[in-house]
Amino acid sequence: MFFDQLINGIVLGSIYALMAIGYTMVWNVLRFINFAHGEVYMGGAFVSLYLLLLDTPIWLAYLGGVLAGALLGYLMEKAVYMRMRNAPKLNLLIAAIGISIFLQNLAQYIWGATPERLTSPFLYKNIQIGDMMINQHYIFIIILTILVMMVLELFMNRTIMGKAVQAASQNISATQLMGINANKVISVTFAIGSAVGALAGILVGPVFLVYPTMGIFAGLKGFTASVMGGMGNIPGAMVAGLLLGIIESFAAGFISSGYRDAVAMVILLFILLVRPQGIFGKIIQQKV
Amino acid sequence: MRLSKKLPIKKISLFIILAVLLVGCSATKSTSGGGSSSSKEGRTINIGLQAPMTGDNAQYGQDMRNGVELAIKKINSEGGINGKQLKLMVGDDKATPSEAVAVVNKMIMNDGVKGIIGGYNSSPTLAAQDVSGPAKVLHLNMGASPDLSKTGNKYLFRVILTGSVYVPAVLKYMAEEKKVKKIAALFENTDYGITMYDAAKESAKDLGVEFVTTEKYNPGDKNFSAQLSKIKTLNPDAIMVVGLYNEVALIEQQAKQAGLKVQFFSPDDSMYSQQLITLGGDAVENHIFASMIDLNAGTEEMKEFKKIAEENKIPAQANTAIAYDAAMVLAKALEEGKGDPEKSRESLANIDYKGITGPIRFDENGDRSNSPMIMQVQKGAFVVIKESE
Amino acid sequence: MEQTKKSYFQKIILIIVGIALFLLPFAITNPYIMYIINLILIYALLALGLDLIVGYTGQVSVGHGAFFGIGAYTAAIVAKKVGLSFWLTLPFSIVITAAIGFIIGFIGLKLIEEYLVMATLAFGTIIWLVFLNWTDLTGGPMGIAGIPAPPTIKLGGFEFPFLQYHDYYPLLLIFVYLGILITRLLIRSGFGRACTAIRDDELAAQAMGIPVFKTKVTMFTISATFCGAAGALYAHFLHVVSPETFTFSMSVTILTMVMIGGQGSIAGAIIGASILTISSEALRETPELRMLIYGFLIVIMIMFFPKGIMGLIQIIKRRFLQKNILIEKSSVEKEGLGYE
Repeated sequence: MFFDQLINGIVLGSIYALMAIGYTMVWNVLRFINFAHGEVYMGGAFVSLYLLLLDTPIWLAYLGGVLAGALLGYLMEKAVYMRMRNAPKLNLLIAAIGISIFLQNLAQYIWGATPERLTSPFLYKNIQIGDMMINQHYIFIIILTILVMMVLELFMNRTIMGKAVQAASQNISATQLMGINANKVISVTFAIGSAVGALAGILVGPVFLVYPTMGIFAGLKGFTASVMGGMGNIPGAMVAGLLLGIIESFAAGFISSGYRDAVAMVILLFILLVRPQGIFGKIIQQKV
Repeated sequence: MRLSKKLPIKKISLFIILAVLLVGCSATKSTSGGGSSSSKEGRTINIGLQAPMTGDNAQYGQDMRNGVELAIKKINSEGGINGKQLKLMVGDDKATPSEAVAVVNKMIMNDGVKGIIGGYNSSPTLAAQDVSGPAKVLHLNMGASPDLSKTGNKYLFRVILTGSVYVPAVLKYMAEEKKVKKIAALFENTDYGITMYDAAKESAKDLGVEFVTTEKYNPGDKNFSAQLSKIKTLNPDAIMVVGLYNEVALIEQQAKQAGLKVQFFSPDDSMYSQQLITLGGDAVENHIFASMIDLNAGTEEMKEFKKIAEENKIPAQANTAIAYDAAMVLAKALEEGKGDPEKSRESLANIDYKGITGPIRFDENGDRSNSPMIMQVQKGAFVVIKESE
Repeated sequence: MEQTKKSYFQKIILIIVGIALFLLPFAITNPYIMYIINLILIYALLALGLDLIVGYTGQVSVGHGAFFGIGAYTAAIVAKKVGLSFWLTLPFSIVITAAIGFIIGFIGLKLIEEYLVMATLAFGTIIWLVFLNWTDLTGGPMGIAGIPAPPTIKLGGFEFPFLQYHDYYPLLLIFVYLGILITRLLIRSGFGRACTAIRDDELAAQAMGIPVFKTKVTMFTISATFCGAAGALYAHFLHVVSPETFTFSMSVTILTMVMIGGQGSIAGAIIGASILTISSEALRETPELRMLIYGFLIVIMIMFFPKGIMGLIQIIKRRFLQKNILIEKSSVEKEGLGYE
């Protein structure tokens, strides 16, 4: 039972960590919470599902979903957020909520409300360790999450674009003065964050199904993880995501499954109050 | 402020477009509403469908809508009732009581519906019948809760069986045929899940079976690993799951992944959907449930229903068939009542109709008392393993 | 001088319109329309309450749906389990939402804006889960049904029973008027000016010696109280409460009303409540498209009319009546908008 819950926690945590990256990256450059990030998670999964219905090979369908997620994030930014650069944060938040409602219902309109299962080549195979069974798809999720994080770390530290994103998170207007195209940096940030979010949605598709409202709680948990890790801190978000998944899994197993989602919310409140800079974060200055 | 000199004209025109859009939406509504109110005495009779059309329960609402639409199409093509055509008003109750009150209000007061089919869920129906009862509008629901028998509302009828009929039937089968002693319950934390579990606890005593644990999950949950790991340690003979079919499919899949090999069963025919097998695959093989309907039955009514469904390219699901039956008896009652609500009610209360879901008769509480059959998923198909008594 | 004369004249018109509104039920025969109007009044009270903290104090909350729920559930529980009537459940709702509002405000208002949003969101979600899981008290997913109507009011020789939607209208209208009155009194007081100062520049307000945190918490508590009262009205009006009504989307709906009507304006809150309630009812004919259009409208509105409809009216006024109206430079005067 203990190890069962631990594995469950790590799998959930991987998903939260992937979601958290999107929130953190956008926060880094724009100091704003992209509330519609959960819909990218849903959109990517739906596009993969649709591609599979067209008999696309699985790897291509997964890739297509990730690219569609990136495109969705990019379009969101270009169509709405970019036009609201000077608007108060509250307006951006409401716009994001509006986008979220719109996309959820668009998905329902196109694909219907019935949950569907994404296929996975690994879902029906188990690995036996002692008397414990671990699903191969779970291992696939964990391995892919680690890979994505490594690639992201390399991108941020070894490429020019990655360094530009880092610079933009320090001070975006100064970045612009240095001759970096801020709009381009923001677009890239949205696209990468969204691609990673879409990947998370695609990975859970075979286990927890794909349906229009799937992004709501995943989004909340991802956000919680990004706050836990310290807003804007990418490695922090990764570790915090894992931690949140494990805590939640144990709380559901040993306390009460009805309040499972409340656990994450209580943690969120607690962190905000006691350590708003996050477990691994540095003090954030409010941008004036 | 930089833009304030230039923008207003643009802004104002955009605002006008938006306003027109909104007014347009409400105008289509008022024309349809106005049309219906003027035709109250005219050529059409409105009937309402109160069901979840969006949200987690939307697939059930869609099935019901298909069934009602089929029935109305058939009735209208045969000349309607008393020379009037039937018209369907669909109201989305989102499976919530407050929305149900809102849509039923609108249907009755604005659209002048003469009868309502729905809701699918018990608590929205309980709230909505408070509105439809005093307005003397026939209300044919598909809820499971025993509370729906106790409302005292004479206009409320139930076209499915109550939980207190389904649950003993399936439990008896499990105890007598499958010899189970220890059962774990896993149900969704909704009125449906709680109602069914309470009924099961009640009849378990007489049958000598015992519930070793009760686990709940919140509606919309997709991760049941915590509950399943707990159940696994208790090693029960069978697991009773009460929930929506897609969640039941997931539960059994996750149980299989966790290496939990045990007989699953659930009380009623809300499991009876091809979607259960599509989603669950071989994990839902051997799942047992009680049902009031067998879509493979060779009766004349069933053949006819399947023919119409096929002609209209609508999947013949259990809920579609039940809603179809409901619309047929409602139309019959309205026809006999000739516009008088009390006569229509009288007619429905004494109806004896041979439907695709078996004979339809209502007792003094507006409930049906058919006895269910037991079904099982075998090789990816629904098979009757025990006929109704 | 001209200004005061004008506002005096306007005041009289307002009072006449206000009294005339009581006669509305005589003009409307369709009970469904009356039901929608009643809903608008309840939402208007909610929007007024949220506007106190969003529009006048500049603090965002996406948890006010939970206060609405706490008010409604308190009234329902007290009415059903203790058997008290509406006039006694209402104070209960107000006191309890005020207490919880104070606690949440005390905790949350120390945070920066973006974090306050998340804290109120977390609070709202927790409250919803409590409604859903504390079955003994809240009836769990089934909610609480059969909440009694307010008792018949006896006034002189007349009796006013609460039987149909027409009967609730005057009661709800009185509460909205009370809400408007309290809002006006608050924002014209020194306390209200302290709030707007915080909204416009928190640091400057602090420098001027305004007890920023205390002011914010007080306003947050009052704002929660409005929602509590609306909740009690809602419970006795609809006779049923259930958890799904009070989810995050309720909080968002109220916030959207404030934003679309125009923050920091009494008329804006009422216009926002009316527009959103009516459009959501009007779109009922197309259930699959309803929320789609709704989401789209929110994005378009907020992108192109960031100050809401009252902001738009202000622009129009400025363009067409430029010579009659003093151009306001700052938004300090915003609160009077609806009456100028």
